[in-house]
Amino acid sequence: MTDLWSFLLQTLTASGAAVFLLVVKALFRDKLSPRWQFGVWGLLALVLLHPAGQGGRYVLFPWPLWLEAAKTALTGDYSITRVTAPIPLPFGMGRPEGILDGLYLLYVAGVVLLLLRYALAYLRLRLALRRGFPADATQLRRVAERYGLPLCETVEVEGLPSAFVCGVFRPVLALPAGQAVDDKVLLHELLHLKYHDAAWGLLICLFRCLHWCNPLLWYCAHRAGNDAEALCDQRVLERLEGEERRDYGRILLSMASEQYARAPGTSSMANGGRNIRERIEAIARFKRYPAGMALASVCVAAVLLFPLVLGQGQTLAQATNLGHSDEREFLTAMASARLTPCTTPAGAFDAYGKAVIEQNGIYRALCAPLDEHPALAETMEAFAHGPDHWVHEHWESGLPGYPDHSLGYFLYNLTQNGESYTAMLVFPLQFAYLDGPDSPPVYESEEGWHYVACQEVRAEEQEGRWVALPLEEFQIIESNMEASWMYSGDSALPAAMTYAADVGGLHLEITYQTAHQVDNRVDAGSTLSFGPPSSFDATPKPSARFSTAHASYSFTGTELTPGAADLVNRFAAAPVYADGSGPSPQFGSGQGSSSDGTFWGSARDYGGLSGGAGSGFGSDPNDPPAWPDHYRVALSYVDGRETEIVELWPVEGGDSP
Amino acid sequence: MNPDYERLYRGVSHAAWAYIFLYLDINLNTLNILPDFVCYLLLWSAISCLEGEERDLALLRPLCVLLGVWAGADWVFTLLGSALEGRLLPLDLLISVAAIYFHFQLFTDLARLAERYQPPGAALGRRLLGLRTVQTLILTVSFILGYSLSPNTHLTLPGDSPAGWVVAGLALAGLLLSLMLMSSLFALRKCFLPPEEA
Repeated sequence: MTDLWSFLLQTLTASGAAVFLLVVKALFRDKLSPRWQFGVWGLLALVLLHPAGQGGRYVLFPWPLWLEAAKTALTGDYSITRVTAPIPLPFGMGRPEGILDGLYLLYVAGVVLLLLRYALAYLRLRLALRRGFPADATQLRRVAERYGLPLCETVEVEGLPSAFVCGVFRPVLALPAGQAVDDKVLLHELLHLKYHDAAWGLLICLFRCLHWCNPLLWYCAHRAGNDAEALCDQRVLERLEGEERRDYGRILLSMASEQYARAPGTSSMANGGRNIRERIEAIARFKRYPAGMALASVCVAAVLLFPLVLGQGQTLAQATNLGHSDEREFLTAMASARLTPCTTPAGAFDAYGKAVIEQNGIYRALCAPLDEHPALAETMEAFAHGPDHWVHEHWESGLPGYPDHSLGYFLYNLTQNGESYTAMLVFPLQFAYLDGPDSPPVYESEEGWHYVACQEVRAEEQEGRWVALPLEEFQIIESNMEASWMYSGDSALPAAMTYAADVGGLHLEITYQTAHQVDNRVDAGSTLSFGPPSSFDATPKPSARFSTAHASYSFTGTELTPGAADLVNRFAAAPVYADGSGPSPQFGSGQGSSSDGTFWGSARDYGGLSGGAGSGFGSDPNDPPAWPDHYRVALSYVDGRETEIVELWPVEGGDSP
Repeated sequence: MNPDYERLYRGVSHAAWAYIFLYLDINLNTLNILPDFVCYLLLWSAISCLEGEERDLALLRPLCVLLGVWAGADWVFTLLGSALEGRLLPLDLLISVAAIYFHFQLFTDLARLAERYQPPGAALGRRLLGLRTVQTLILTVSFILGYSLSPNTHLTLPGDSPAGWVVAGLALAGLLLSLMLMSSLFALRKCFLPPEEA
């Protein structure tokens, strides 16, 4: 906890868990044993020890979301509140500025003062115990032997109202001087000793100090202390029989008005009248819980453990139809975008693609670097409060046209560059502004082809989240492919790699393209046909993985020497990968291709030297894309020459990945 | 005081039928014609009939109401094409742990009843305790998995997506368990038949 917000996040998270545990405990008050009643506080201890909000996760209630929205509303700060440790760390804060830093310092000072106060109280108690004198241990030894319990140093001290154990590492049993102490009281204190209850008390005390300004957690600490005593009572009663149990109840009742040691690291049988009344009620309910009850207790605790300790991941809050002036919903949506990290490169590309299509700034925030959020929010606010009164989520990507919402986007030529990925996002357009937004829209080219907008985008990991960074302005390209089939490549779009060679008066060229897709079909289960989705899911999937990867390749042979192509009878091409592996070029019948990336054709039948095909590539579309290192092309000739093997090497775009 | 066999018979009958409503779902479109809330109505009635023999059963009344109201609300929501589950995690969790305890304690009490009334040498009580233990474990694992694998927990099981197998295994185990539970409860019912019918 390095600032006020991180402390608030930690203490509110713990408070939510505490309220829930209090309800659960109330539900099982007369049903589960005191062991469970005390043990279940361990879950709250785990919540308190676990830094809240890590990875945007929340415990039961979305505190990180609410807190982030409130923080932005109050301070205009769009950073993410991070709890690095469950204890205050004032050192990295720098020079305090403003009232929030002042409040945080006040909190830290409170922690230090309370710790000092408890330490002093403990020291004073230990000094008082030093003034005591060793007690006659005969009775104590007898009780310990009878019940098989450990012993510790025992002193008698003048003026003590009741017996108690003090200390964790060198515990001392303090007895009131000059007073007879009942065996059952000694049994109670020796059981505290055996089960290290003073250590639990110390831990509870530490949590009190850390959350000194949270009355709910103080109440829980009080309840936990009382549950520890009730558990000790239970242990005593399990060792007593008949009338002894009733005597024990009477002794407890007699302590209701006694004072008791409140110092940390102590455990005392007397703990105040009100608490003792509750313990008497627990004793009245006492029963030896059947052995099998442990199973139900453990199962109930196990079911609670996961949600309380691991928490839940934040999901994107409402990001559409935010209206024109609802600041609260806008800030909540922006906060949810900050707290919902894209966990995969595919997730970042997907969020960016959908942000462009939907003109949605919240989607853009989902995949934008955190330091761009203030500017992004400012732009959106300006749109919302500007003369056009856009809805609050409106954002303009610069797309030079209107996207086809039913087709979504396509991701071409995905490349891995070290730790980042680059790809070209392709958006089929219903109409394009070829000469700027003020010019009339153009729906299709003279040849009847539609237009697409393309943009090179890089996905990289920043501060534990994948972000998408556009690398260039959009460019409009006239497509060569039916829009719904663009997932299989489009020769009008830039190639991932071009392989070429000159041979026998011919310039041979293979252009290689890849297209990756996230499954964005709205109803994937009912679509049986192989092909593009009929409806596009426009909701971002920040943890998306690619569902398909398709490679397409087209081959052309252009004549450098007139008539050179007429001499070619058939051709076949096969990819060769960096490790030298790859299929051999095989002349198949007619024109065709194989799933291993080979393809073939007959120049004579089809009146020219061209061919190509496509196939899925890679066993997992999420593997780093591996393009062919080069191609081997076999050419057979009509003049009886032997079949020639030509190697086509990359000519642009550098080495293949 | 002589036990009221007819009342005990009715109580155990209601419990046995209750589990049919709980474990079997027959849906007409979105309408479950064996709704779970009927289970809790029947169990409420069963508790009323049996609490004279097993006083601990009365402790289950608040939980029975809680689970019954929840199941009824869920049935209405489903009927309206919505879902109650998943709306508020704390409430889901509360219901989960209440269900674990409720069914565990109910079968513990029924097993005690069986121990007292089963024919000499019969092991019905022990069988009920065994089934209770398995039921509790299956419920616990289901709830933990249900939480761990829910979309916004972003947790996955280790290995090559065994979640489907685990869930299928649990479903099969649950089906077998439900059949055995119902059969055991109907067997327990026979312990309360008048001697001439037994």
